[in-house]
Amino acid sequence: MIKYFLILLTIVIVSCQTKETAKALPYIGDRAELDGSVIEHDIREFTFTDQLGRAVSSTDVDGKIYLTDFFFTSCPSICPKVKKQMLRIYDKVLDNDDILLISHTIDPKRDTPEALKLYADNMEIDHDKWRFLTGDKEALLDIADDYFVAAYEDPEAPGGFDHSGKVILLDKAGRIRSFGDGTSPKEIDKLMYDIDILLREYE
Amino acid sequence: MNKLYISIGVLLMATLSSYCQQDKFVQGQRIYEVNCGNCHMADGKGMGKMFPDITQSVYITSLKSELVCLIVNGKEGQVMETVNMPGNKEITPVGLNNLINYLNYTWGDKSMSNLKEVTEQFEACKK
Repeated sequence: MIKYFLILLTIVIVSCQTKETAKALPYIGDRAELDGSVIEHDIREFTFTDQLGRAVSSTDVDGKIYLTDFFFTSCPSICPKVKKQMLRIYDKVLDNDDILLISHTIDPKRDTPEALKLYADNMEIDHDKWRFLTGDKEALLDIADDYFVAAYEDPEAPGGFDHSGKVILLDKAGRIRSFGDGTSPKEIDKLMYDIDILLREYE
Repeated sequence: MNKLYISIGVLLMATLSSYCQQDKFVQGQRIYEVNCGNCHMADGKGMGKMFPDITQSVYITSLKSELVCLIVNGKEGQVMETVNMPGNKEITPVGLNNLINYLNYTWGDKSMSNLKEVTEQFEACKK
């Protein structure tokens, strides 16, 4: 009996270890092949405006690892919880200049750059490290699709929008490599662990 | 082998009993998690000035008489107009009572809320 138990325990420990030492993160999304080369799912070109009124476009995140989410300031449901987890990530990556945080509002009508600045100021964050983006509503909702985040207008939903609290991790080439539910501290623990795995690719 | 079962049993009981001890005011805790915890967080500490820390809140200590109205009617945002505390018109006096018991137990003087008083305050606030 004990012998079987020990064998089982060994199997569990060994399988755990293989997980622990996993070297690479997967590429998330559909891949296509063109002329023999593999094209991973990527994010469409964008230009939005941040909390200081500065334009932020695809080229600004080129060569940067970034974490992104979707929210709106008047959101009465999950957003504050997600922001609290984003703050944990912010604290972790603060000293690494290769990593940015990007939060998109899905309510640009109310979330002007001025409103986003107030919000960001109250979170006491660095406006260069953590960009809060607003802009054309359709463009914001469309790009959420590219990040595999559900976000759409729904008059029945609290605050007028339905959206998921996912936090997405992108590598320096703009490919999605991991994600976690921003309402779950445990999933964000794992996402932060994945950031370290991703960073090792660039060592 | 028997020894193994006994130690597993003891462990299980210890885990279960410590779990049971945390089960105070579960109804109130559930109401808190669903309606309040998204902003004020499970630990009551909120986030920045926008989502106030309620663990030292005057509404739980010295301004208790206003707590019912605050929960029912909400409060204007202090930092920005889009960030308000929404009121809760659907909550019942019994739900309020459970919630206040949980708040008192967790962050207040652990006193028991009086359903009759809560119901009177609730009726007065709704007007």
